[in-house]
Amino acid sequence: MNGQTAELLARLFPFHVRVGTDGRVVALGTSMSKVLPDSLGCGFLDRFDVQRPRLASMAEVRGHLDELVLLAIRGTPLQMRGQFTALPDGGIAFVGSPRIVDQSSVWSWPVGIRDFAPHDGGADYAMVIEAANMQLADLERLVRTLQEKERAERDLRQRAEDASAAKTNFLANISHEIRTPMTAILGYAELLRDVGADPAERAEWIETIRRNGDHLLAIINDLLDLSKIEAGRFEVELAPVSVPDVVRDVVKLMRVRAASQGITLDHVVEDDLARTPVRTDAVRIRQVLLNLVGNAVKFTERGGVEVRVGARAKGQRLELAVAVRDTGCGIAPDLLPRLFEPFTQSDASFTRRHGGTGLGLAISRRLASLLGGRIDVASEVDRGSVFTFTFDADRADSDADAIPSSLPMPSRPASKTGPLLGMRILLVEDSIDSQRILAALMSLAGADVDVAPDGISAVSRFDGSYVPDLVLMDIQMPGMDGIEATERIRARGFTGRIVALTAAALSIDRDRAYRAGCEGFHLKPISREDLIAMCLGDLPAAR
Amino acid sequence: MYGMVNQAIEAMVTEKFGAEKWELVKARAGVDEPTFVAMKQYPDSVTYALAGAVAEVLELPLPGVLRAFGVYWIEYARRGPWGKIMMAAGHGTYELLAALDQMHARIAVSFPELRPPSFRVEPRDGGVLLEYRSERPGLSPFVIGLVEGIGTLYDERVEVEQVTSREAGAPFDSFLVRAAPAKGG
Repeated sequence: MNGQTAELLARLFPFHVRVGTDGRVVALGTSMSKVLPDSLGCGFLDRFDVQRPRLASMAEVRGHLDELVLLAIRGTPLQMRGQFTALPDGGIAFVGSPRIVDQSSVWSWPVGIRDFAPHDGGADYAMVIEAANMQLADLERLVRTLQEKERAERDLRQRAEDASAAKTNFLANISHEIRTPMTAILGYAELLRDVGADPAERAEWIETIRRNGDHLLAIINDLLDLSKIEAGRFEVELAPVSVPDVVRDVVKLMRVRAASQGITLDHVVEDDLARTPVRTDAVRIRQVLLNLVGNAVKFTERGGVEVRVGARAKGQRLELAVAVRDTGCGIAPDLLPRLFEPFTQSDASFTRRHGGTGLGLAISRRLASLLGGRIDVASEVDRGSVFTFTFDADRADSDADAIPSSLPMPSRPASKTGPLLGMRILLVEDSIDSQRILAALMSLAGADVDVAPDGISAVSRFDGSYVPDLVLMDIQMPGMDGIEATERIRARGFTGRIVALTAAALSIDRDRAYRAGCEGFHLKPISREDLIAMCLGDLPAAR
Repeated sequence: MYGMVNQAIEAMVTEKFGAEKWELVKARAGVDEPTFVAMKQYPDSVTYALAGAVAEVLELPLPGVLRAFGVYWIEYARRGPWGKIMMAAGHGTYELLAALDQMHARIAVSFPELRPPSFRVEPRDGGVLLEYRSERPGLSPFVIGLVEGIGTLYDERVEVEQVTSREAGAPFDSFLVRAAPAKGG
């Protein structure tokens, strides 16, 4: 074969193999030399396996010239595709290029793109495979993105459905919780109209009405608290507080109930650090602890309840922990995750058996959060529970004398007959029922009560000569409300006490009442004792 | 440009600065594509706007961003489906630079709308002179980063010096590239 032919072969087919008439390799293309550097002089079929068509001898090869063939390079996973062609010198040549079947096949060869002849589409095919792989990767990424999006939407939908179901459940529970005591109240009130009932029975019915009224009031107060917290209208009022004192008061209050159940109720202050006065909201701390200790007592039939107060320094602040441990019935594991949700004891019979509004823990957790703290719970069925209320607080700067030794508690009026004897009271109240009951209670306590059915009527009395000792002012009244009436009475020069007595329980109402000139603010309903204490100025104002 | 370029910008910003910054970049660039598709053709203006927004959001000079993207592009390509092709295109910085045109020509089979730049290499002063011709203006810092990225790919220390600049009136940009094994230097 002349040099020109050899040169042409080398230039056009860098992967070619020339075979002599004796079946031995006599020349290799430049690219093929990189793949099989030591093959010159070797038997062609020793180096290559002609797989398709399967040809076992050079004679057979010569019978399949210019057909598509597939060669495997022995001892490697590499394959070539191309054709055998006869050469002028009697030899034959294989011309072709690497067989590309997947993304890795060609690139495992010791050759690069420039080793392929420009006309060789084999390298382009490799690029097409890579492009297809890239599209596949893109597709997988898009599918993954869509799946994540779908999952997020599904979660969102589930949360919305859960929230809706929770709201529906909540409303159903509220309805039930209010209707239950209301049924008793209305039912026994109906019975009381029966003049034939004996006095003992009547007293029992009245007691039932009072008890259910108390329960109803507790539910309404809890709902109001919950709604205020969730609306972000619950204010925390910081003042110096001795947490062990609050704990002591709560334990003292609950001890009667514990004793009546035959269980112990103790409290322990773990260290002196816990006695350090801190700036926090004593009323809210007390509310949380009353709930936790109340629950512990309620659910403990044997053994007792222990309240431990501890503290540890946390930088300049203190972390206080009040742990309420009981030996009660414990909490089922499946209930624990929902324990702090409203009405978790979804079974109404639970409330009937154990009392409570089903809102206490929900409120407590939210209060704890408002105070920058949390409530943790650990429990074992039939062994008991530990609720730990942890919160951070600044150390109080003022001296201990500034701290009330206990929270203001309703004080009882002096137990003398006619504690309001000689007091002249103007009751401004539009509800006939409220007029009757309040006037009757105050009159029975010795007061001289005037009743004005609305604001206009009340204001008209202050003509200069009328000077009552106390004005009890309802807020929401038709015509002129209690706010305006108070302002006008003050404008007429009355300097005596005006106290708001209202069912308007929002703090905005309280603020308006004080701005108008009221000196006190109390919520209806009110017990006889509190009413008398209020008239005497002994009842702390509502918050 | 094809979406894979924009995907690479997204990957660079997200990897190095977080997904939030990428959202800011997209917003600044006025791009509301939720994601880019590698083999879809996007207007060049989108890529330019993204590069500009990266510079603004990260408060970096645009040439610095383009140069960093050049370095990142090579690393990004190495990790992706083209990595093997790129690695097989040469065995060192000079070889790969010399093979870039061939590689682009091969790639064009799969990207019919590809308008790749042209790179020509000739030996010069112990290194190579790289001639860069592109219809897209302002990308010479990207090319410098690209060459540096290729050097890193082969563990070579690379110096790149711009010799001619289209912005300065030359017919094309050119760079003197010197590469040496990193460990030898």
